[in-house]
Amino acid sequence: MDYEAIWDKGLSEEAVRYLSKQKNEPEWMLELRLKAFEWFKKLELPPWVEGLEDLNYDEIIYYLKPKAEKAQSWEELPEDIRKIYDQLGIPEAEKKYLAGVTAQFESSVLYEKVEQYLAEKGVIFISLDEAVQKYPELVRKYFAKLVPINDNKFAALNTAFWSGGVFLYVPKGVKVDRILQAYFRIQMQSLGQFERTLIIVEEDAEVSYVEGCSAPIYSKASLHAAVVEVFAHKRSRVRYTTVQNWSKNVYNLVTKRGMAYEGAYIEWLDGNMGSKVTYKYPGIILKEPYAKAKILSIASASSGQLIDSGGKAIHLAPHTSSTIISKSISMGSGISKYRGWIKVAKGAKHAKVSVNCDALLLDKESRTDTYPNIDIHEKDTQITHEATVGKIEEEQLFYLMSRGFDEETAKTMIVMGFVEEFIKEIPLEYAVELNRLIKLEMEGSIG
Amino acid sequence: MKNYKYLLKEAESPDAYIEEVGIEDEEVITGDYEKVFVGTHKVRWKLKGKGTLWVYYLESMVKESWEIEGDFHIFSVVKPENYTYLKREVRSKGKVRWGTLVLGESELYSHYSLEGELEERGIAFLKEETIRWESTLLHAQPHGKSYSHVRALLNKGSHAQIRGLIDIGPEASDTNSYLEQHVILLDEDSHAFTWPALRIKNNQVRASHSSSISKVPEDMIFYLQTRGLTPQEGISLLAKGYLESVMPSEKLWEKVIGKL
Repeated sequence: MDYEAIWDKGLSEEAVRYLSKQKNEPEWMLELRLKAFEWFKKLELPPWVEGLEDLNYDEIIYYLKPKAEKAQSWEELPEDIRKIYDQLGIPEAEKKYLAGVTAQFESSVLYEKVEQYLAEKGVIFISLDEAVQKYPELVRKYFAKLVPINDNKFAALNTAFWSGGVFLYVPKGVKVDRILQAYFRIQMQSLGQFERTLIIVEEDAEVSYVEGCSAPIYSKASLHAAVVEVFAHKRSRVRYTTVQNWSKNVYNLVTKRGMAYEGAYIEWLDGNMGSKVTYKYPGIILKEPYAKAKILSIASASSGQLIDSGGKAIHLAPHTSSTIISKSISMGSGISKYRGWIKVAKGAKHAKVSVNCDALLLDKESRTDTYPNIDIHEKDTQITHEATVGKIEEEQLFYLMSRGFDEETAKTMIVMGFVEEFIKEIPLEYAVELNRLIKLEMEGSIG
Repeated sequence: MKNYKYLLKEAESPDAYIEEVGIEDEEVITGDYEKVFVGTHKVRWKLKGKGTLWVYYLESMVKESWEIEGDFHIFSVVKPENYTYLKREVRSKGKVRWGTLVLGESELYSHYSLEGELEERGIAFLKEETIRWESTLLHAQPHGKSYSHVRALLNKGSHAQIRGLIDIGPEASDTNSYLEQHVILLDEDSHAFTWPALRIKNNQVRASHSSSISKVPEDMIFYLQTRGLTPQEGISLLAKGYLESVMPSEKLWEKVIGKL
């Protein structure tokens, strides 16, 4: 698909039709897009949203012509991004891809092996655009069923203009024992502005999926509004890992949701490092008995950033359990917020919920907020919620310094300890990069 | 179940109604004191020195502003026939312990601006009733200390909405605050919503919160049963324990009973 053909008449119904025609989509998808666009115009932002005043919807049009918004050469990239690439030790070719200088990241050898492995298992792992053409029934059955088109303003916007993203289907009983990474798949515009991910895991199947990238992704487009839907059928296990590090001019407004059927287990690991403003709350609906959910998120907000993240768990059936662990670090004038929603519906007996959110403030200007909502309609439940906010303890610092570490190293060690719970859960190469990233972010912010 | 009329109709806010009444009383208090409210009132309290206050809110709509300097122990008892609305605006430079006991359908909004220390303890016992409780603890100055602990025991289709917010400004370094909300649901139809929020703009602080919603802990009931008590007696014992944490001595407890 080549969007070089330019559409620059603003956001309109015509634009939706044009996009759909370019993609040669079936009629139902076009109708859905049009309906969603109507909702986008109608819906308002929630009253508590801040930091989106400068968001300009007209810039959205950039994305219909992705080629035009990439940096043309390595030298054009902002200094800080180049520095981070160098310090992370990313290979030259990959650096250029991430920066958008070259259109493709040459990983075809590696990629072929993945392809072969998946074919043996019968797993479908393609772009969603492709899936609409190849498996229209499957897509139609699940698309926008978990995140309705009018869920929120940005979900509506995404539904109207979605392009790129991943479609992953794991058949019944198949256990995918390797981690699937969208990384290998970014040849296909999946890093788009309105990416859309649809994951369906059939009964007794297992999969672990990683999206995003810990290296900063440079994008001139200022808005990223993605939607992710995960369906975990009976007794399946899904682990969804996101590491997000958009460059610091991006508005990252994402709707992520999972549905867990009987005995299914969804794990959501969510790391938020980059972007100017992030609003993101992975939500898991525990629809049938014995479903389990775990959301583990970290957020690191440095100067100029607002990261509003958290998790939601909706318990609709008995014997369901959920765990939410959130860790946030604010440094410089960064603002990090936790916002959560726990709901236990009537009849969801013996539900177990545990929420834990810790915030670490590194200096005087930084700020952190915690807004948990806990809504319980059933008496046979166990809910605990705990949160702490603090700074780096003088005692710990003193102890480390007495052991011969300088102040900066000591502080870094304490911060690394704080996020360890998250780091140890994610794939090694991400963990290594993330560790370095946090250190990098802290350089210059401590003083 | 009683109606939700005051909780849902923002347009008919009791606040506006009280505003029309204007300031009725201005009380300057330097020692022990006792007062009973019935009906609509707008009051300005000024507390200086040291003392213990007992304030009863029977069927009433009250809007208060408090200015506190010194060391005070305040007990508020909210016991409406149908419904009580209470709004407190508190500025405190002193050391305040504040216990609030709620026995009936009510809405309570408290806003504390703190320079000194505050210990707020609230407990609500509800039966077929609805409560909305909101506390904001604002630290704009350094060296403050606050603790807020709200508990509710809900029975027979009661509804509780409990919101708490600790707000620590950029200047308020060296503060220590804690927010706790615990709800026990005694029956199938009761419902609780809690919102323990923190808003922190300073890193020289300690702030934390915890919140829980559950039924009566089974292990506790079991333990008491092994000691020969029925589950019913166990629950009353628990309720009494709660009450004692708000109104510390048996004697004070009798005083409340006697008064009511």
